[in-house]
Order: sequence, then structure tokens, then C-alpha cells
Amino acid sequence: MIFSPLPLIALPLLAAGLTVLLRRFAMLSALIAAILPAMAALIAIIYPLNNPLPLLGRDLYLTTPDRYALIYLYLCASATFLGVWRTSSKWTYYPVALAALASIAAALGARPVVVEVIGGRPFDPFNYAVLFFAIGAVLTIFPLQGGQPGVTLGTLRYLTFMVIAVPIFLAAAWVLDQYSQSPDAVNLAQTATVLLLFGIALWLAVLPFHSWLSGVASESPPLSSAFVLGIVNMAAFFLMLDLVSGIRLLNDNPVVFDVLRLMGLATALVGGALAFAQRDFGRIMGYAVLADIGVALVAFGTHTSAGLSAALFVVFLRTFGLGLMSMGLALAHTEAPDDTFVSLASLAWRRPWAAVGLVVGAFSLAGVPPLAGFAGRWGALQQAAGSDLGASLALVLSSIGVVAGVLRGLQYVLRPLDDPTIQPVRESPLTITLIVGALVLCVIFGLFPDLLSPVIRQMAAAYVIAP
Amino acid sequence: MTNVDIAKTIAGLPGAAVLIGLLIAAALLVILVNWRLLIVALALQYILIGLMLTRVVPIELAAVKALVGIMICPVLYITARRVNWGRPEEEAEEDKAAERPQRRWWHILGAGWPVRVIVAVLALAISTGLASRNPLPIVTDLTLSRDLTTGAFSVILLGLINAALAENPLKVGIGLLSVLAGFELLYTAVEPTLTIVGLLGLTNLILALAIAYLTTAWASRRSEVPE
Repeated sequence: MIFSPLPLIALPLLAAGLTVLLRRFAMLSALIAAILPAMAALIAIIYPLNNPLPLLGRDLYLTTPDRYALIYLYLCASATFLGVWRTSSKWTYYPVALAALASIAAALGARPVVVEVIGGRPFDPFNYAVLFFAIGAVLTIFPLQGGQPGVTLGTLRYLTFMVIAVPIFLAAAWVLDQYSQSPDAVNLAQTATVLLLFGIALWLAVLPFHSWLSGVASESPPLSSAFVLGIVNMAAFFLMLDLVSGIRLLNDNPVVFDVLRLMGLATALVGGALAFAQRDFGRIMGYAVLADIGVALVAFGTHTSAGLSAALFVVFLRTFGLGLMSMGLALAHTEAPDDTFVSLASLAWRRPWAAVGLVVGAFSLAGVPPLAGFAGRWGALQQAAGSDLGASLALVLSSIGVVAGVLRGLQYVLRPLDDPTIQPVRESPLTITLIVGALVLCVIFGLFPDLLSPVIRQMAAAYVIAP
Repeated sequence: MTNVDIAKTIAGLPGAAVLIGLLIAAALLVILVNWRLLIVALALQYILIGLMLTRVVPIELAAVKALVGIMICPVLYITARRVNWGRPEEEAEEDKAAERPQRRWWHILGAGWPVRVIVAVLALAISTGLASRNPLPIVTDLTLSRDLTTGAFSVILLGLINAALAENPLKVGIGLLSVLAGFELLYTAVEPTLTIVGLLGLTNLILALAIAYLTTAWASRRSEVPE
């Protein structure tokens, strides 16, 4: 049982319990929250964890792509918990986020077993994965709202989209079950496909279901929004890959990929355009992530192995820029009441490290070379150009929109101080180490994205996507 | 008379009466704005969904569904009470202190009730029309399938309207809980696995806690900044 996904579920839950018990000891809680998921990731690196784990009457097991996805998610979560320790005093973040992480691990472990829809029963639906993911997503409401009086709009929209997708996915599972019994019923196949695409669009925050992204990014504590935009959204992307790969009805149908590509194009373009129009760094972060989701979908929608690899690069490399930008915003929050350009004026002189994190993270999210985000976008751009020149132009425009939005904010961040007597805040060595570490990783993966290639190659090979 | 006998007697209520009751409860969740009445209507909706389910699944399973809903209502009730039923503290104190003019009975429906009544009636007409033309093949009995489809479509549609139109987290949350409850009316009949029922119940409970948390946060600003 130890070589099953058990450590990935049990260790975060154990950490959640310990952080509640040790809530008075901030440093100890933070270290437990950071170390136990990192330990789980380490166990998953060393052992394949591919034995089945009996849970609630069915076996959970990890495939190669899900194993790598979870390792990455857990390492990102560990880094986020360290960031929370340096920027927030709220102990409640750890247990709830850790429980959400365990639930997401269960969701990825409870993926559908190869679904032979055409070949009749046995049909193993994905309803466990959907329910575990929904529980994880709803749990993140608590750190997202963060106890701020009156601030509920973004979180409420997020909750609405996450919950509405649940019946849609479960209805799709039911229709697929019926289809497996009468494979000639084309209307059932069409209904299931439409329902699955609708559910995917809701969970991935694809246009027009993106309204929560900017709300959450501007209202919520920055590292909480990073958890949702980086970890929950990334898990939703992997669930989508599992569904598309596992259900032949989807991966055999080129129209599905055309729809995903079109949705991605619209999302990337709107994300870029809206990022340009903002006067708030939090909102820019939200729209930059929206554009990034669109780019990943465009690459995936090319329906090729290379396109899938490019999409995986985009999704993986997003986390560096997102982490860095949210860390910068979280530090800036101690100086400013909100994320607006005006509130963050002269940040470079008041909190230089926060400004560095914010600006470099934003440029990485926008896909500016030589940062990590560029490597992902470059691959996606090449794939899009191979199939449609207009699509690649749209992706370039989307990046330009985000860069222009960040440059508008940069004028404020670099504005000289009105009062020359103000001294810059001295960050603690650990905070500087975290920011420098993220910066170095951001540049290293931007210059040498091939470091991720062996992992991504294995993941792409395990998915049944290409025709 | 044992508890099981009582449950069987209640389950023996005519299907049409239960369905009409369910449609009224679901419509009230859109029409009403008073938080006390909303929570009562939500509890009623859960009980009626449980009663409808007794016709297709074992009575114990239907009781679990109703119980999950009935557990959610106290969570929302305690939250609503803690935040003064959504009114700023000053307003509540003024209400107690000042002598108010005699209000008409429909004051309890809140401002804009005619529009909400029209929306609820239209939604009911659409969902019953759709369900009676295309009842989902849930069970072999066509009448029962039609009843279940009508109930589920109505509760889901009215829940969606609540979630889309309301601005306060309690009403949006009640809308989301209704969407899930309406869907469970269909889904429990086709997938009566205890694990799925349990996981759906857990999802509902965590959702209720999230709604309670958001409602408290929403109301705390209102009490800080009087309108």
C-alpha cells in the first residue's frame, strides 16, 4: 500500500492536522506545511506509486503523467507555503490548502480507467475524480477570501463556476454510460461531448467563464490566488488531459480539438486585451493567467504530440512567473492598501525586492525572453504557426497586451519617491532567498527549458491524444 | 407506530402533491428575500426531494439525502442569525427602538417581488414544458420519470436563476445548493452507489460551510459601513 498514492493523500492530511494543533507556532506550522508535501513529492520521485489504493470502494492509482503532475503540484504548494509564512500571519491557510491538495491528489488518482465507450461495458466513469476535485476547489474558498470584510465578489463567482460544473460532468458520465450500452445512439455521443467540453470550459476558466479570474486575483491575498490560479487550475488542466485521453469519444473526434483551439484563441486574445486595459497589478496577473490558459489550449488543440508537449511546457512554466509575481504582490501589500498602480507608486524605492518579484514575474507570465514563460509560449507559438498563421499572430498579440499592461504599471513602480527621507524596507534574508531562488529558476528554465523535456516527453507519450 | 412506519406513511403521499410542493418551495427560494423564510423554504425543498426519491430508491437512501439537506439548514441558520439576518446592526437596533408604521403583509416578500414572481413562474413554465415533452429515461415508469425530470429541471433552473441574479452570498449559495439538490434528484435514481451519495453529501456540506463563511464576510462589511 505504501507504493500506492497513499503518501500523496495521507501526508498533506497529516500536515493539515499538525498545523491545526501547532497553530500558535507560526514557523513550525509553516515548516510542516512546506516539508510534508515536499516529502510526498520526493517519495513520488523515488517510487512510481503505481500500485492501486483501495479507497471508498474503488482503486485509485497513478499513471505516469499524473504522477509527474502531482510531484510538480506538491513542489509548487511547498514553495507557496513558505511564501505564505513570510507574508501572512493567518494560520488557517495551511490546513485548508493542505486538505485541498490531498483532495486534488485523490481526484487525479481517481482518473477514469481506459474507457472503452465504443466497445461496451465495463464503463468506469470519472465521477469520483469530479467530486474529489470539486471538494478541493470549494475548500480553497477559505484561503481565497482570507477573512477580508465585505470582499466576496471574486470568490463567489469562482465558487459558482466550480460548483455548476459538477452536475455537468456527472451528467456527462451518465450519458456516456448510456452510450456504452447503445453505441449507435449518435445523439448520446454528441450530448456527452458537449457536456464534457462545457464542464472543461467552466473549470479551466475559459472565455466566457473567466469572470472570476480577475476578481480573485485582485481581491484575494496574492498567494491564495496563486494557489488557485497555479495549482487548482493546473490540476483542472491535467483532469482535462485525463478525460480527453481516456475517453475515445473525445480523442477520436477532431471537432473537439478544433473547439478547444478556438476557445483557446479567444481566451488568449481577450486575456491579453484585458490585461492591457487594467490599472491594477492583481487584475493584470489574473488576465495574464487567462491568456496563458488560452495559449495552452491552442497548443493542445493542434491535436499533435508536439502540441501536447508545448501545452505541458506552458502549464508547467506558468508557475514560476505566477509564484514570483504573487510573492512580490504579497510583500507589496504590507506597504499598500491594494494592487492599483497608484497604490504601488514608487514601490521600487520603498520595497525593491517586492518590485523585482512583481515585475519579473509579470514579464515571465507575459512570455518575455529570457524568462520561463517565454520558453512555454515559444513552443506553443511554433505549434500554432504550423497549423494556422492567424492563430500564432493572435498569440503574439496576447503576449503584447500583457507586456503593455505591465509596462504601464512599471511607470508607477519606478516613479521616484516624493519624500526623500523614506528608507527602503529591509527584507529578511529568507524572503530575499525565496525571491532570488524563484528568480534564478525563472531564468534557468527560460534559458534551458529542455531541463523539463524528459519529464514532458514521458507525459506526452502516456496520453492518447494524437490521431 | 415505529419510525419506519412513520417514514413509510410519509413516503406514501401522492406523487403529484409532493411534486407541486417541491415546485412551490423552489419558486419561493427565488421570490423570497427574507433570510429566515429562505432557510425554511430550503429545508422544505430538501424534505420534498427526499420524499420524491422514496419512489425510486430505498427509503434509507432517500432519508440520507434529506438528512444532508436538513444538516445544511442549521449551518445557514446559525450564520444568518450571527450576522443579524443580513441587516447592518444599526438598522436592526433602529428597528427595535423606533416605532414603525404598520406594514402590509407583502412587505415580507421585499422590494421587487412582482418581477421575481414573474421570473419564477416563467422558469417553472419552461422547465415543466421541457420535462413533460422530453422526460429523461430514469426509470421504466414514464409518469414517474416525468415527475422526477420536472422536479429536477425546475429546482436546477430556479437554483441557477438564484445564483445568477442574487448578490448576497447566502442567496447565491442557496441557489448553488439547489442546483446540486435538483441534479441529485435525477442522479441518485441512476447512480444509487452509497459512496457517490456520501461524496455528494460531503460536497454539499463543505459548500454550505463555504457559503456560511462568505456570508459572514459579506455581512461584516455591511455592519462596518452603514448604507
